[in-house]
Amino acid sequence: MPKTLLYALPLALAALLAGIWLAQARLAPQAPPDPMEAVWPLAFPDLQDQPQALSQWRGQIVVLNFWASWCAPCREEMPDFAALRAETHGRGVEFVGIAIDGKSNVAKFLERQPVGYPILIGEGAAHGLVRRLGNASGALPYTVVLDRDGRIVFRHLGRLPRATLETTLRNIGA
Amino acid sequence: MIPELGHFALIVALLLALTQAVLPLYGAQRGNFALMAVARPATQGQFAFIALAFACLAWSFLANDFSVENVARNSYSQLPPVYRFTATWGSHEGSLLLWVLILAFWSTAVSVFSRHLPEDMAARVIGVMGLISVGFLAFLLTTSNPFERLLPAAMDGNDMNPLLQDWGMIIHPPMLYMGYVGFAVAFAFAIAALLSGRLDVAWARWSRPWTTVAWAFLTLGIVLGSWWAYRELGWGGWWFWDPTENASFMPWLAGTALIHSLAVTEKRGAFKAWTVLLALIAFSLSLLGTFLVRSGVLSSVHAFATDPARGAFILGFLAVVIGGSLALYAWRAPKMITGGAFGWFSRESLLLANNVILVAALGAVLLGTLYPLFMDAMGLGKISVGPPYFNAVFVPLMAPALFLMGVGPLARWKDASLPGMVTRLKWALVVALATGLLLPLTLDGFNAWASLGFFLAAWITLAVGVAFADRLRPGQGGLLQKLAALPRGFWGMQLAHFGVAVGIAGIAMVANYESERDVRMDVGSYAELAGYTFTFRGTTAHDGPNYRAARGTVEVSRDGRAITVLHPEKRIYNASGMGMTEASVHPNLFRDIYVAMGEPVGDSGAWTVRLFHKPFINWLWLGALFMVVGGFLAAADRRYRIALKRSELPKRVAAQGA
Repeated sequence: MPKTLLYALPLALAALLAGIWLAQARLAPQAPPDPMEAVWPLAFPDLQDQPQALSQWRGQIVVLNFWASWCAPCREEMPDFAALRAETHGRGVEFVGIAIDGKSNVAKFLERQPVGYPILIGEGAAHGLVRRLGNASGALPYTVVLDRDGRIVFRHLGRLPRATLETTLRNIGA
Repeated sequence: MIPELGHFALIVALLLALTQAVLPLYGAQRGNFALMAVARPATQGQFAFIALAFACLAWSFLANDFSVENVARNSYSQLPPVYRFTATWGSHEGSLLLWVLILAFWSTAVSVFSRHLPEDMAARVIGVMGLISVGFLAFLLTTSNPFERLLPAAMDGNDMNPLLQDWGMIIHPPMLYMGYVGFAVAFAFAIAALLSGRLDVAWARWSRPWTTVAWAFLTLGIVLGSWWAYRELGWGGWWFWDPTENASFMPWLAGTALIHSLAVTEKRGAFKAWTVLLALIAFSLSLLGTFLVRSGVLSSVHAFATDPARGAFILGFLAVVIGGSLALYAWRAPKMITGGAFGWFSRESLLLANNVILVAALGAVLLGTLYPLFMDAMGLGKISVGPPYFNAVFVPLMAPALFLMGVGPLARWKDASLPGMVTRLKWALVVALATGLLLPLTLDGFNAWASLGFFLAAWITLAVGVAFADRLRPGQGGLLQKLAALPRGFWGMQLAHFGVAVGIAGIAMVANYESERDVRMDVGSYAELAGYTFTFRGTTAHDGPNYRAARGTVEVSRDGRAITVLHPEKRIYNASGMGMTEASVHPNLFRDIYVAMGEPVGDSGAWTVRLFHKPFINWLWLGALFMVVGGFLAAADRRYRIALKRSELPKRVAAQGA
């Protein structure tokens, strides 16, 4: 028994320390209070391979939607977004879809289901962005709403009901 | 009349399954040989009646009997006969019928090849399989009767889903089910061992070939599914971490862990309780997979609610099987005696590491598959985790397992020497590291993921080489003689491991060096990709048996030399009006050229066309085929047959004496 302990104890201690470090690293309070400051300068390519800077939409109300073609709830909510965008675009609201997905998958999906708002190809890189914007699990769909001052006023993980989004937009004056 | 005959045959099969379950199990408990002897004829009778029911359903499909609801929903008069036959298992009801047919087939196989087992063991194994049959037949008859009539009869059918009209789909479901259901044999052996308390080396030796064969079938089934998705979904992907794929992948991971831990139990008598638990888990995951795919819960938890009877039945059945077997395990397992001790570096410890990693990977896949379902069921929102999650957790877990795959088969049982192993493998390690580092540099510059893949593939291949070199030390006879004299178990293992290496090399190539283009092509225009020139010659109308298609002609050449002419199609199916992209592929050992039609552009005959260059993709299927053949070879090892003959002898002597 003591011999087993000799091996097991340091191992258990090491595991404990690793666990504490991991929890610290993951659950430590986010240092920058407004993650958007770091996000605005980013750019992602669109379907024509043209880089599109996010800053071009600064000053409008922006519904930033992270999605992927393999994500069933994402596909379900996108027609709602397309309809809502057509309704509110005149009032200074823009929808931007960032796909955690490859270009060919996105192209193939949009062929069947055009949405009418800008879609950017985020591939794997945008996945880190999803986490930075407050979605630690990294699951999709994830939607954040930014007001005209560029602040996050609403975050939602999972399929977003149309009524909820409409209320949110109305509350910030869209 | 024929469908009613099939329905009746199913009812008889259920009664026979009840007999097969109850009498032998009771007899084995009481030591009554007359009751135990019921097991075999009842099993074979059950198989005969399910086969009859299956034949009746197949006849209804082939004869276009649209007064049967199942036929009307899933078939079509213009459907070619071969797809009318496969439509038999294309629906929910039909595929469950195939499930019970294959279960009855496996039970019958056990009843035939179990003469060498002690009578009570055989009776228990067959009895447990009968219990599973009872559950599934009752499910079929009460909630999913495939012979339900539709009155008045439909004029014509709704057609089979066009995606399923492919010959990969003809053999994929039967092979997959052979694997899924084959784990029922391992499960039944485990339960029988727990019931009898006889959990010894002989038990492991009996159940090992069955498990290996089931695993080989499951591998084949999964690969056929992947190959089908690659060709038929029209965008050149081969694994999507889709919940339906995970449903078959989870039992595969458990089964892979099981065949390795069975090796330890058979050779060294260790890991007994763990092996039994894995056998229970593997089959429970098969049931879970069936539940996930068949209850409609995957498309949405609300689909589950639209037909609560089905879902509740499977869920209840799942609870009884998993809960019951785990309860039995908890009660019996502590009484088992643990086997031989082993050192911290030995074949046992390496196989233990393999098992730990495989089970961790299994847990990660299980979590990623069920988590969104739980979230949805709890009303916490509909989410999806998808490939980023699975790639992030799965690849780092599997890489060490694959590294150990090189070391494990070379380590001695009980206690191996680490310095000795280092000496034996140092050159292999150097060569594999060099391959991993340098090969990407010759292709497209430094690439860490490609390096990892090439390193592991080279490492496993070299370790397989070292294992053969060890076995072929100088001695009597020529090289071929010596190779032929090696046991099939050894051949099977090495071939399967080599298959993994081939598959990894293929994945590393295709995942890092594939290229694709989405181009608008006018008639006569050309596009280039990966050194190939694709010239578009326009489309022609083409009528299939149950669809109309625009068939493109794309000439492929390289350096002015013609390679092939491809004919991708865009089809519209007559009955459903569904559109389908039928890609056209020119394969060889080193690459696939893959062309799929997009959409027509304007009136000039121009189209958008998708071009793919997929280097080494076929190594993936080839590697998997090596694994399958390796599995069958290992299961055919002579020692299993020797065990058979030896135990037959006393019986024959006894018979003569009488």
